[in-house]
Amino acid sequence: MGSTSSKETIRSLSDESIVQLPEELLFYIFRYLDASSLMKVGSTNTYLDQIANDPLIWKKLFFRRFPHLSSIPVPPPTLKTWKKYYHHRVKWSSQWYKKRAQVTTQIKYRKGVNKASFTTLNEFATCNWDRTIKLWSLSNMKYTVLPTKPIGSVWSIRVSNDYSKLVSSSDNHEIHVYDLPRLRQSDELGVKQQEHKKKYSKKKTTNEKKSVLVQQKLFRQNSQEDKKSGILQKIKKTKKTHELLKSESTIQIDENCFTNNEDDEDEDDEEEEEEKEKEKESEKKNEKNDDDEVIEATVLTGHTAPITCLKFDNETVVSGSSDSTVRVWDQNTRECKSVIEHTDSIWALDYLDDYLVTGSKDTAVRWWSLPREEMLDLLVGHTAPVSCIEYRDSLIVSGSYDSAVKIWDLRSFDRCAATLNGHRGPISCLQLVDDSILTGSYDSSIKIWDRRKLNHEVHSFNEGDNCWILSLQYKDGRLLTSSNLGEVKIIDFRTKEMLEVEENELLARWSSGDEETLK
Amino acid sequence: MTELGKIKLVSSDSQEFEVDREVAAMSQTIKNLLEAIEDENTAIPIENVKGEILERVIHYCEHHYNHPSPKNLTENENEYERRTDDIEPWDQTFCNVEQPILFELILAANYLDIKPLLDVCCKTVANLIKECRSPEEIRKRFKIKNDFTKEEEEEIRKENAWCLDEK
Repeated sequence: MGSTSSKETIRSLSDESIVQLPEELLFYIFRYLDASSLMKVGSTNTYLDQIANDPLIWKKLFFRRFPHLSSIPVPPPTLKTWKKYYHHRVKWSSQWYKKRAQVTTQIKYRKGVNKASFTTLNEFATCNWDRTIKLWSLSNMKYTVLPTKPIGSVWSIRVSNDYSKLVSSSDNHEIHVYDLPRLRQSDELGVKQQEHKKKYSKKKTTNEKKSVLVQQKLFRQNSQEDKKSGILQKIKKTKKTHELLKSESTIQIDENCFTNNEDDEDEDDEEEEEEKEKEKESEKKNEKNDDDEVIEATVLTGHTAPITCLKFDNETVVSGSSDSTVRVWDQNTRECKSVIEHTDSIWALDYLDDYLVTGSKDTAVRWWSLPREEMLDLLVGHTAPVSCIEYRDSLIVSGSYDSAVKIWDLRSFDRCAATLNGHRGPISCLQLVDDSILTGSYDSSIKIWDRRKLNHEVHSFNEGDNCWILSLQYKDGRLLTSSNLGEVKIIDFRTKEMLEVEENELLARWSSGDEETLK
Repeated sequence: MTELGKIKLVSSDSQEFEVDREVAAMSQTIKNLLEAIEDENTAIPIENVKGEILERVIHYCEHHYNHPSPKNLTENENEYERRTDDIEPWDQTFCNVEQPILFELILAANYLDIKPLLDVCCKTVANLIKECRSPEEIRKRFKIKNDFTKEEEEEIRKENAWCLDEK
């Protein structure tokens, strides 16, 4: 028995249809939908289709799904809308189902490589068993030794998303933070690089050199430049580099390439000599750089045992160590802001916002509140030390020496959502990419899993006998891996179409919002 | 006369409800009204909400006034994070009603400006949509009329085909 004033709202609803809700409320509801449901509900009716295509909703969905692309201000011109871009990216991320990947780069270094990490689109860093950190250029496969202070074995390096910083941790209990653009911009180093090349390589291709320069320019921040036309040119040039890269397809480089042509000499001697020479050289560099302050690292000290894992952002560094503590550092003041006490060695950690997850030698995974320095949950299930871990939203993925990878859902009551069995040796590294999980193991294989599929394993690469995969990093369509045998590989999942869009992405990044990305 | 600290609400169909002033103030709309009204005894007309719904809304407010939600640790509201699986058990039961009532609750929560209630109802509807496996199922469940032409429907089906392998 409704009164006249309210008839409109009430009567209209008596036919039980969602379509009767005003647009702003439907919008409010649709914000809670995932892409798939949103498209389904849009396929039911013209009115709902119009609301389900709202660009704002799709933009949010895009950034939720692809947070690493959050610096992109607009969708690439060829795709126009966020919805189409979302679709494109989904296709992209499911590339490895099609097993189209090809190894585009392969390096055989004479010592094991603990970790390899991209430092730009065209360069990556490695930390090696010979106690050096090296920067490798993809256009000519030459490396530069980072003139670091004397350090112990480098366990881990991390590079920030915007490629501006490189942080290393080693068994001398110190953490070093390097400023990458400064290092790269330094003309000093440029000269040295060339000297280096002259010394160690007789092959000089001018084209290749150019492309290095182009790449370097591309990542150099030159604000005075006439942007748009400059950008277009740059992008054309990058295209060339891509072609170059493709045409090289597989490059087998071993240490001999870097030495001169005295190939008749005993190899071992040669290596030793070379190493000495290099050490001298790096020492020299060290001295010089100290004078010029080309590379000054921010050094964080406080741990009392080797540092096994770390992660950082603009302000802070979080590190885990065998001394059973996690330390949170302020990069600016170099102070240790807080110490979280464990009962056993920490082997892996990850954090997001205020939450920290750690993997320990004692086989447990722990979930912490960083500001309160308090443990929120203890996740038990692994039967050997937890060696790698990633955390996203309320999801934790952990890899262990028990050969298993576990997915924990902090929202569900039982916590452990799935166990991925398949590896036959300790898991050494893992990465979460959208809904896929990449894992590397001492069983010589790299596996790709889909956490949504019942039969999780979707792909597996075998890297040969007795090869321990030590690190992997997937970034923008390429997978970079390293092993104890010194092999560093890049497996490329991109197709031609994707490369084109990538260039558009660059264009979008540069043409607007560039202040942010370039700073 | 109303008791001390209580106010009177009148629904669109003239049903009267006596509510704690503090409870009623969980609605931003009523709170604003209360600030404007001087006489404590004035009955406040809620013109867009009928008695049956208003009763439920008051029930919701009373429960949450007496059981304030503990600050959920995982609720650190990320701008991109829109979870629908974090509805408290009491709220789940509360929202487990016929669709017309649920929609009216949404309208009422929107009109009365009670954000937690609006959120929880919208999440419930979102979950109902998510449970459906096909557009056809959504149409059936929500009694939506298909007003596409055959050609349009085919086009949309093609355009949206990729999402079927998405979860």
